[in-house]
Amino acid sequence: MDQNNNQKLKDKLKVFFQSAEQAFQLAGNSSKLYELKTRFMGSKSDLQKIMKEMKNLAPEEKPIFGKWLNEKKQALEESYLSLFHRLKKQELEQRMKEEVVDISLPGPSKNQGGLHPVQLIIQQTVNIFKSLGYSVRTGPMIESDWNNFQALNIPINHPSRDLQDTFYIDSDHVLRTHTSPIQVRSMLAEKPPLAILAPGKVFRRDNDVSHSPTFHQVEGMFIDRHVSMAHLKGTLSYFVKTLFGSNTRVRFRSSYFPFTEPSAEYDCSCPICERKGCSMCQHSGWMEIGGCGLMHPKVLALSHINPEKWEGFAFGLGVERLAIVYYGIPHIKLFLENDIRFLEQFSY
Amino acid sequence: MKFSFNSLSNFINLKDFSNISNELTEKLSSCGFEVEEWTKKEYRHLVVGEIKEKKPHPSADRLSLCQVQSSSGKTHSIVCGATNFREGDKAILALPGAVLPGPLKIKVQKIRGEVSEGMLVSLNELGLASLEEKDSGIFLLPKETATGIDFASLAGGLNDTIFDINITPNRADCLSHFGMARELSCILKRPLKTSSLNEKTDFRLHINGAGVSTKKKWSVEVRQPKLCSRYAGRAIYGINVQPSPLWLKIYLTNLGFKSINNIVDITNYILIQWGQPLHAFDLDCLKDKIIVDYSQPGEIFKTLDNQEIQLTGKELCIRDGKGPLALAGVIGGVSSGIRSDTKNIFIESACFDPSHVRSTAKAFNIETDSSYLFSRGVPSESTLENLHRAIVLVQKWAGGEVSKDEYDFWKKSSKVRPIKIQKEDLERRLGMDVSFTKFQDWMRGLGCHIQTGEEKMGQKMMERAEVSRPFFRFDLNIKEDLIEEYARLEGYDKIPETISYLNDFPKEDQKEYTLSTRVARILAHEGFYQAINHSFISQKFSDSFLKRGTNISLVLKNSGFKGRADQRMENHRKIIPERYKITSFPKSESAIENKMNSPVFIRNPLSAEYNMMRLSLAPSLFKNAQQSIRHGCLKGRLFEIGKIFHFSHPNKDDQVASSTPTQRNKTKNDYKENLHLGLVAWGQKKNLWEKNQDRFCIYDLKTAVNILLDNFCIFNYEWVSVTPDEKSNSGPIYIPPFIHPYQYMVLKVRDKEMAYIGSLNPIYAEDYKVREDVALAEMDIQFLFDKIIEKKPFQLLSPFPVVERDLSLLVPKDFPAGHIIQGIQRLIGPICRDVEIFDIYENEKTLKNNTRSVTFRLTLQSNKKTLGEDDLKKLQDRLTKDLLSSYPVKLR
Repeated sequence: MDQNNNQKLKDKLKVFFQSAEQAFQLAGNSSKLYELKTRFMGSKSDLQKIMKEMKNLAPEEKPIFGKWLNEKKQALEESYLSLFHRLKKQELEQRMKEEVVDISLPGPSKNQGGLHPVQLIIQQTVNIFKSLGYSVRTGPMIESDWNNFQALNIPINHPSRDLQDTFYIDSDHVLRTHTSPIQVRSMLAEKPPLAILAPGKVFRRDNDVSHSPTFHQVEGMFIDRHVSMAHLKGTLSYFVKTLFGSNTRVRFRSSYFPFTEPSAEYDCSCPICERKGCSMCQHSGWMEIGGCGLMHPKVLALSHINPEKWEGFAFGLGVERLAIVYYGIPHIKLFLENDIRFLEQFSY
Repeated sequence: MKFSFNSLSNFINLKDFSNISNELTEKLSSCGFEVEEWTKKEYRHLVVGEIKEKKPHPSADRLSLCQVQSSSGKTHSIVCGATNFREGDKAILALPGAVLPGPLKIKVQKIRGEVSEGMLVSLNELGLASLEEKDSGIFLLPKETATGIDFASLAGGLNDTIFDINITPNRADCLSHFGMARELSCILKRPLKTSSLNEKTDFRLHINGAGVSTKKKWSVEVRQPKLCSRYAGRAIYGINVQPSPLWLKIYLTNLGFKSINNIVDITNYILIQWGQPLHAFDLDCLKDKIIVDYSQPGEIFKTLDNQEIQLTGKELCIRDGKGPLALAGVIGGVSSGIRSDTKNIFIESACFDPSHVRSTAKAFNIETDSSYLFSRGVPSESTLENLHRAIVLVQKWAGGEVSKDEYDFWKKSSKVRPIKIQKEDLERRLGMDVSFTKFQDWMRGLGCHIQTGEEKMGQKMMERAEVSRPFFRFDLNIKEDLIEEYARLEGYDKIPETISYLNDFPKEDQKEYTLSTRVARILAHEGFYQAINHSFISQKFSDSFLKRGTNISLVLKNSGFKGRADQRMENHRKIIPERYKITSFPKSESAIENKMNSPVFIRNPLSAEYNMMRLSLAPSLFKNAQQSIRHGCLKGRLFEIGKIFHFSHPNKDDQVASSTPTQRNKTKNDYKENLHLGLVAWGQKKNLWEKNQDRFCIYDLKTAVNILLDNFCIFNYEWVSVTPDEKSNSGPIYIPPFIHPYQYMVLKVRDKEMAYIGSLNPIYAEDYKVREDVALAEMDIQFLFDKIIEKKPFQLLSPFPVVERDLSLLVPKDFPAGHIIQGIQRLIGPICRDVEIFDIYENEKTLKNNTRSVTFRLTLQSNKKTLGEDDLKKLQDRLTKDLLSSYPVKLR
């Protein structure tokens, strides 16, 4: 009887496995297949019911039968898995095909922002001079006549005042005509050695095609025990080479500023044409950048620095002028118009 | 200053540069004389013609038809309107191709039916006529002039090259042709022509035997020798005032002077050639004596160009017994000026104090060539010889008899001590090897006197020199001046390049810079472009934006406003009634308004456009936005970091504390500058829940400011709504007039008002024809100075899961829903990671109760544990209860 039971159960199971295998093969998609798997092999499946009949088997037969059954179950499981993977893969491929996007469409628009070219040039200049140990100083735009002129060896009624057309606030205050008064402030407030850089807005009573009453300068001052024209030239050369490239050269031309002696105007070789001559440099091959010189002993003394012990150089540069060269901006008037179409050409 | 190549060539041989002016230009530029431009002045297609035949024009009474011979045998038919010539006269014939000033291009043309192959020209047409010669007909030349020769070859050559050279204020000695030639002689290392000084020797010949004495009639007295170190003069009797010779006219014209008459032209000629301003008085208009003294206060003086000015008693004048004759060194008076009938003259050659002349010229805004020269410095050593040069020319061109008596007052200045310099000084300051012999050569070339020697410094022998400057170089005072002279003459290109680093520990940047760079970076990142505007603005424009009460009626009146905006204002008024005002506005006047009461004005503005220092960044930023919209940029965001200005009335105690007024002025500044951030946003893409609304730029600005505050680790702030319905102690609350009063918020940090954001007032929008939504914001960022925190304190990362919960409330339509966010955050406490408004909607159902549905999405996370259902349930119950009791809201 046991034998009989055994055979009967085996037949039943064979039928079950066959129909399960068949059903799996016909499932068609992975979720259906999963459903079938639960139906055939889950806790409430026919298999479980049939397996309950195992208790009727003779004890010595149980292990043998169990082994057979396990093999069968494993085979079905494997068949399920390979089938499932195949279907899943097919379905995924299908899905991805359907998910194709039109990459030619634009992304969602976002406001792009940017810094003003003047700010960009100032930042670049500051960063270059920082590598030489300079630090940034600022000062007020309404300056005393003393700081703006007298402390820089420009006495009242001196003809060199004609070099800078000045806006007056009252008899004793002006809109600073250069960033040089920041030198004075720094000398009075700090002890040498000093290496300072003073960027800022400056004002001249001048308004024509090539002049704006408002523009920007960066002033540099370096005070140490021994400072020479060669140091000055080397420093400015370092600056233009970093900004415009290592082929750029610096040229000094003799000039006059009341606060420096010797004084020079300095030019850099035109970075656009590399001294071949172009419209940007008016075919001279050189671009004027600013003025410089060794600090006049009087200027040091006026700000309580002993010119017997300390020497210095100072230089100024026109930010707009540099920006014009650096970005190829055609004229100075564009800088203060704040036309979005101008501003959006610069990044940050 | 303009220089004539011909005239320079009279002093120094420049033949090798005559065709290559560029080389001379570069030479000058490298030595500190920037040549701004140079132009060739040439007369072309102008020849001397002989009038062979003169007949009336067949069809015009006033014209004549002439046959003019140019070169041998060649004649030209010329139609001419002038009448001042006869057959056989010689005149200047302009041939086709000639260009006369005007410009007038000469070509073959028919005039009233007759062909004219050129033109007989007048002085006026050549641009060379003096006042009296304006209508003097064609210019006739002496009969002996050769027919057919080029006009340009007359008088030793009339073609010239004019250099416009920028002479720096220290180089007064180069403000004349002689001075420039002297400098060139040093630069080019070639001598001055000895013949160039002959004019002076000539003079000796002329003046001998002159014999009319003037002493009995009058005298010269210098009462202010401090301001007039030398005063020389001499009278000439019986001269003829007439036009100057042609070459002089051309010379003066080329250099930008106007030819007046021979006497005035001579004074200008001496000024241009020798750098000595002269003045010629009509001797018959002088009374008894010449006095050099201050003016009398209140005196009226009429200048040569007929300006009446009132003197103050501070100006140095040349006077006679009656009154002022001239402002010393600046300008002469009309009463004693040279007229066409002047017979007797007195020529003054003097030396006035530079800064006095400059201040007088500035005070009356009269700048003349004389005042320009004097204010830069004229040496007293050459006063007399230049007077003599003028007298020679007067005799040559105007005749007359020179007086026997010469006035010459001279208060010589003390001798200048020589400058001591060592070879080592040169090498040290220039950073290069220096040849001391070369140095001495250059110094001698400049006219310095040198004594050399050696000095023992320790073991080494130091080469040294004592350099005495020539009298005309008063800019050479210290050894640095000599170092510069050596460097520029030797060539700045010889200076090597040595990089120098700060030999010290690095110092910190000033906060204003670090701060504004950081703020700029953040805003650029938020999609704003940086604007930079002028710091000055029109007061009228500024007031129309900022001044309380003046705006609306003013703007309405100017805009032809019809009342549509009025209606819109009314609608907006309904949005937020007072009863839900969360925080009331501080009961003090606005900080902005306080500053507005004391604006800073510019004394000498370029125009009324720019007469005031700005009080706010908003007006100019609005203008930028408006311009951009006009250019078709319908959407944009701008920021500006800039100073605003106001005058702060100095504290009385401060005044007492500082010792002297001048000292106070030097160090103390009563003008206040505040660093502000201004924002403007206009135009917007509509999306999501914002669909139903049309004004959203203010929210953009709010986000930007919040991000900024967050970046500076400022969390303790509050946005407060302010409406015109509120009052402060001092009257109605101030809301900037250009701001929409019901779309306005104020940022308070520690109870202080630090920023505002608002939409543009619709009246302004209409007035400026702006259809886009525009919002503006302004923030005082000075207070961030002491708030700069480089890094936020680091927050530990929670390992526990995040839970999201939505909470929908029915909120009264006019209740500020944003305030509920802070309420929720406060009520939940530390486990609240984020609260967002997820959705806002209105439908008939919600509207029936005048509410809208607002859904908040809460993001929750604990640092200590995984939040379970129980925790969440408890939290939600508590939250709902609290919300319902503190806000006028219902659960949906």
